Order: sequence, then structure tokens, then C-alpha cells
Amino acid sequence: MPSFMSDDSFEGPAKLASRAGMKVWIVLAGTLGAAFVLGAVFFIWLYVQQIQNGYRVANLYDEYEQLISVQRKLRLEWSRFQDPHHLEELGHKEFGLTPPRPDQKVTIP
Amino acid sequence: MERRKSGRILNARYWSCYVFFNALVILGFCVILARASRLQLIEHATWLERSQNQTEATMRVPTFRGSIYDRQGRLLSFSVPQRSLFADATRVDPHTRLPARLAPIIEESASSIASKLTSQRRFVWLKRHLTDQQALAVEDLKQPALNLVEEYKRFYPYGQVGGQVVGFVGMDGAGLEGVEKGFDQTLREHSVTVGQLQDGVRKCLWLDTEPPPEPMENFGVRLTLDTFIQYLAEFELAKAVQQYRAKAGEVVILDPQSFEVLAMANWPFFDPNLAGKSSAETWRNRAITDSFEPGSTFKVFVVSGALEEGVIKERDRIFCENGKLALAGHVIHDVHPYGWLTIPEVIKHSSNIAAAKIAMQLGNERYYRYVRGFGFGVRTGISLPGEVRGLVRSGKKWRPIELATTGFGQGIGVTPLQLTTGIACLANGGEIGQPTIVKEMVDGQGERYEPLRTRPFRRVVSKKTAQQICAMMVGVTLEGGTGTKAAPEGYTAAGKTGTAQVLDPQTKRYASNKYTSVFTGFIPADRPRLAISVVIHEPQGASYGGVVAAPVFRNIAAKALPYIGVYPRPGSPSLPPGVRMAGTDGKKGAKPAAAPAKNGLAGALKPCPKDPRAAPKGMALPAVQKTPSPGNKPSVSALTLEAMNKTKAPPALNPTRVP
Repeated sequence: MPSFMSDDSFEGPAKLASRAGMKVWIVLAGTLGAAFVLGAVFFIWLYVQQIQNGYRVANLYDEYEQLISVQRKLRLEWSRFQDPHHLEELGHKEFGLTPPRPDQKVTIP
Repeated sequence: MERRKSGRILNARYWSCYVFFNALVILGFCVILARASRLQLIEHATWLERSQNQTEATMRVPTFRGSIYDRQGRLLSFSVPQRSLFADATRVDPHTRLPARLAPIIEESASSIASKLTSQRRFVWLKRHLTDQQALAVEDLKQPALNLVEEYKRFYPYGQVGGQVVGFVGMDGAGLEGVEKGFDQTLREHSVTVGQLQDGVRKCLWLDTEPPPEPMENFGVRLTLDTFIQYLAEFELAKAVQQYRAKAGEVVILDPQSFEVLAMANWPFFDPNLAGKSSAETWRNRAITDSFEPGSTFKVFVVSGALEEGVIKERDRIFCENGKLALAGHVIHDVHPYGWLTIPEVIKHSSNIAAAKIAMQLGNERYYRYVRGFGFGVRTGISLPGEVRGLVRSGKKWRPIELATTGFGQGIGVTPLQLTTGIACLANGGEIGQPTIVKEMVDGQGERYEPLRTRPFRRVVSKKTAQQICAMMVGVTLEGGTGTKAAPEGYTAAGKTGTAQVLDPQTKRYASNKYTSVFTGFIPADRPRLAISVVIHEPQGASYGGVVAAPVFRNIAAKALPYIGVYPRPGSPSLPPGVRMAGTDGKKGAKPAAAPAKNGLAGALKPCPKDPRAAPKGMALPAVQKTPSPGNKPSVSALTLEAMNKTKAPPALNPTRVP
């Protein structure tokens, strides 16, 4: 009478269940591992981004300081242009202006 | 048998290997543990410091020195970052010929640079505050021994305008003169140091969740000074000083309603940008640090006191001894001999003899009280460094001759600011305030932060007395007075001339050829908006206050009044025919004087009071002289303060009251 299955090859319901459970565990472990790896990669990416942004912030700060410095220098130049002595000299030398005669004066209240 | 033997041998070899490797691993772990313990426990601090040195850096966040603005918000003083050059002399490579290459860039001699670099110090300043071009050129040299560091240099965009008032700072940013010194604690720059990470090549990165702090400007101050009025004052002062080849000069302009200083000019001028190259003499703000004898300008104060005390009345007449009064062994002269003069005539013609008699009549105690009351002999408290009290001896110590000469401004020392404050008090109806140079504290953006508190106003003389004396001062600028050159076209001015002899420091006597020419007053006379004092020291060619100083007053007022919104009266006979008035409705001459200003100063100044201190209508001014006398020099012949102290009792002096 032929046997349907040898003793070795016979898998009982418990063993099948165990193997299925193992597969689930393997899948879970694989998923977990993949998630861990992905998480680790993501963490590293974040960290790299943070470092890069750190450099970027530092560079922007330097740039900002330089712009502030330039702005202050321009403000100083602008104020210098308003110096009455400078304007007077400019009027005399560049435009040949002289103080007005009385008949040239018009008082605007 | 063999197999058993070999199995035994294998067993032994196995176990020996097993034990050996186990021991090796354990030993290895022990070594690691020991090393880790050493690093973590024993050498922790050292390694932590090394780690921090490698990864942490400090960032200096600057807080610029606060700016100084004028009353219109114009920048008078401002800090700008500039790089300074220093060297690590130990790293200088002698083969690079560094001094020779650096010399043309930083404009210093190669030998001077070489001597600095041979010092073998690790930090040697080579040049502070390089220009941007110089800094770039130094960077291009690519020398490891050279380093650039950012510092802040103070600039004064208006140069000499208000130079002595604004002052200057030293190389390290500390205020050394003027407002820069007086408000150094408020303005002073400081830096905040914060931690920052850096990598192996010392490149910085910022990983904090908080953003890095921003560079800021410290609190600044807004002055009461107006740059345009200051410029006018300096321009006119320079013109007069050069015309009369004078030794020095000062002009002080106050707003008589708020006692805010609108201008404080000193000649010779001083440009704070060139402080290092200027003589220390020019730094001084003489308007507050130097006192002078005010001469006849002081007569208004003695007459005010006497009127207030009822010692004299406006219609009283005083006998002026026909120009010569012998007093305690000395002779007091008038420039022109006068007989009987009314009180307004005394002011108008500036009689020394009458002023001396009034001072004698008022007496030591009362006169001294008024002298102090008008602010003489005490610091005004203007918050500028170096202010002096002036020279006013205690009234109890005044000898009779001293009392008499003080009546016409001799033997007493006042500062130009004190004199202007006293005059502003009369212009303000007899109430005196504290003169101020700083209006308020401002934040880094120039916005108002906190106003400066001043002393409350104090009444010195009644409003009636002030009105009486103001009317007399108007007479000085009218035809026949000593200050006719002070009234600009289209305006009525009130003032007093003064010409004081100067004490020669060598002979300790009054020099016969050295004078101080003074004019002090306010304008317009009916609604005072500007109180101006002009002091010219030792002019050549002319000496009278009415000739030397009064035109400066007129020229300043003529330009400053339209600027603050006070226009000449259209119908005024003194307005030159050439000058046209343009009305806002397009018709010439349609708009009256004193229209609101467009330039903003009128808004900054207090509005005019509704009740102008006009000259009393009923006041009879004395008859106009045909020949105007330019001024009146006091002439107690070569009399010094010491000489006065030695003198004895005066003769009887009795002003005669006319009912």
C-alpha cells in the first residue's frame, strides 16, 4: 500500500503553522530591517541636511554682516553728500553758483 | 588507540587555543576598558578641551556705537566697520620682503613696518582702520603672518559742522570730547560673544534651533542742534573772524521758549574726522569751557534786577557825570559823555557810569542774587564735558568798585552759553530753563526711545520787568542805539552790544589794544524765536560789539528765521525793495509773516506764545541821536580784579528819580 507521504516529508498541521509563522516573522523582520535601514538612511540624510543647512546659515550670516556693513557705508556716503560745506563747494565749482542778489530773492511763506 | 591519542591531543590543543584566545580577547577588552577609563575619567578634561577647540568657535556679534543725530534726524556721528591689520611676527618669512611689499599698500614706511615685525611678538598692530581697497590689497598678498580683524571706526559726515559739540572718540571707540564723551555710557559699543561649531578646516556652521543674533546698533542720541543753523552760525562767524583777524569767536543760538541749543559754533573750527591731526586747542568747546568778561551786555541784567526790586523805575533818570566818574581811586569813563539819561537811554547808549550807579544802588546782596538767578557763576548743566562755572565771586566779597564794575560787565566771567541763557530768560518773560544739547535717546533705528529730563523752569524776574527790559533792548537796535547793525531787514531785533577789555595774563592788567566784542539778543523782538550771542575775541581794526559782532547776529538771523518759518514783514520799511514776497495763493506779498514752516524745525520747536512780549505801547523811547555810536567800551583804566579788591569805599551814588 503506497504511502501518501514518507515520514520525513510529511508535514503535519503544526509544522505547517510553524513554517507559516516563521515566514511571517521573516517578512516582519525583513520589513523591520528595511524600515530600520530606511530610517537610518533618512536619519543620515536629515543629519547631512542639517549640517549643510548649518553651513548655509553660517554663510548667509556672513553675507548678512557684509551687507549690513555695506549699507552702513552707503548711509555714511549719503550723509556726506548732505554736508552743507560739500554742497556749497559743489555749487561753486561744478555749477558756478553764487549767493543771490536781493532782487533775485523771493520769500515763499 | 592512535585515534584516541590524537583526539586527546586535539582536545588539549583545542583547549589551549580556546583558553589562549579567550584570554587574548579578555585582555584586549581590559586594555580597551583601561584606555577608555583613562580617556574618560583621568584625561577627560584635556580631551574635552581638545574636542571643543576643534569643533567649537566663538562668534563676535557686534553692537555698534550709537549714532548721533541732529534735531532733524541728520546723521552727525556714525560707526562703520573697517578692518585693521595685525601681524604674527613669529611667522614672518624674511625671504618674502614683506615690509617692502606692504609699505605702499598701508602707506607707511618699510622701515617702520620692519621694526614692528622684528619684535618677535605674536600680535603686532600694523595699521588700524584700513580702507576697503587697502584691506583687499593686503588679502591679495596671501601672507600667513598677516591677519585682518574687523573694528568700528567713527565717522562724522558733516565734518566741522558742530565739531566741538559732537566731539570725537579715540582709537578704541571711547568718547574723548563733546557729546561723544558726555554720553559715552549710553553710546558705547560692545560685542556679544556666542558659541558656534566649526569643522576640521575651521569652516563655521550654525546648528542651533535659534537663529544667530543680528548685529545691532546701540542707543543713540538726538541733539537739539540743527545742522543748517549751526552751519549758518559757523559761516557767519568765520566771515567775521577772518574779516577782523580775530583770535577766536563763538556763537550760541538758543530757542528761548524751550532753551534748546540750536547752534554752538566755535572758531577755529574742528573736524572730528581729523581729530588726531588737529591741535588740542581746537577740540575745546569754548562756548562752555571758556569764560570772558561780558562787558556792556551785562547791563541788561543789572537793570532787570534793579527794576524788579523797585530800586529804579523805567522813567527814572540817572546823571551820567558827563562821562567821567571817580570811584575809589579809579575813574570810570563813558565813551560819549552824557548828562541825564532815562533807564531806556542807559541801555540804548550803554552808559557805564549809569550801570555802575544802578549796581551800587541795588547793593551787593541783591545784585549777586540776580547774577546767580540769571545763571551766572553756576554750571548750566548742559551735559557736555568741561563746562565751567564762570568767574563770579561771592557777593559778600565784592568791594564797592567791584560792585560798580560788575554792573557793566567787568570783573566777572561768563561763558557764551550762560550769557545766551540769561538773555533767553528775558526773552521768555523772565523764566529761565536749563539749556539742553541732547533732546532724547533714540534706538538703533533712530526712533525716539526716551526724552531727556531737564530742570523745571524758574522765574527770575516778573513778566512785566522782562517786557520792560526787552523793550529797552529793542531800542539798542533802532536808530541811535549801539546795535543798529543787528536788525536784519524785515525784522525787529532786541539786543545789547558789549565791548570788554581783555586782561593781559603777563602784565595782569587790562590790555589797551585787546577787546572782546559781544552782541547778545533775540529775534523777532515781539515773538522771540532765537536768542543769539556772538562773541569775537580780540578783533583787529575794529573792536565795538555793535560793529564786529552785531552784523554776525543780523546775518545769522536773516537766514535762520525764514528757515524756521518766520518771514520778514512785507510792509517793513527795512525790507529791501529788491526782495519779493510770494504768497501761497499766487499773489505776491499776499501772505503775512510767521507762516508755518515747511522744513520741520517749526514743528520741532514749540509754537509761539499767543501773548507776544511786545514793546509796551506807551513806552517813550528817547530821542534818536543823529550820530550813531557803535558801542561802548568800559574803561576803568587798567583796573584788574586784584586792584579792585584793594580799593576802599565809593563816593555817594544817588540815581535821581523823576516823578
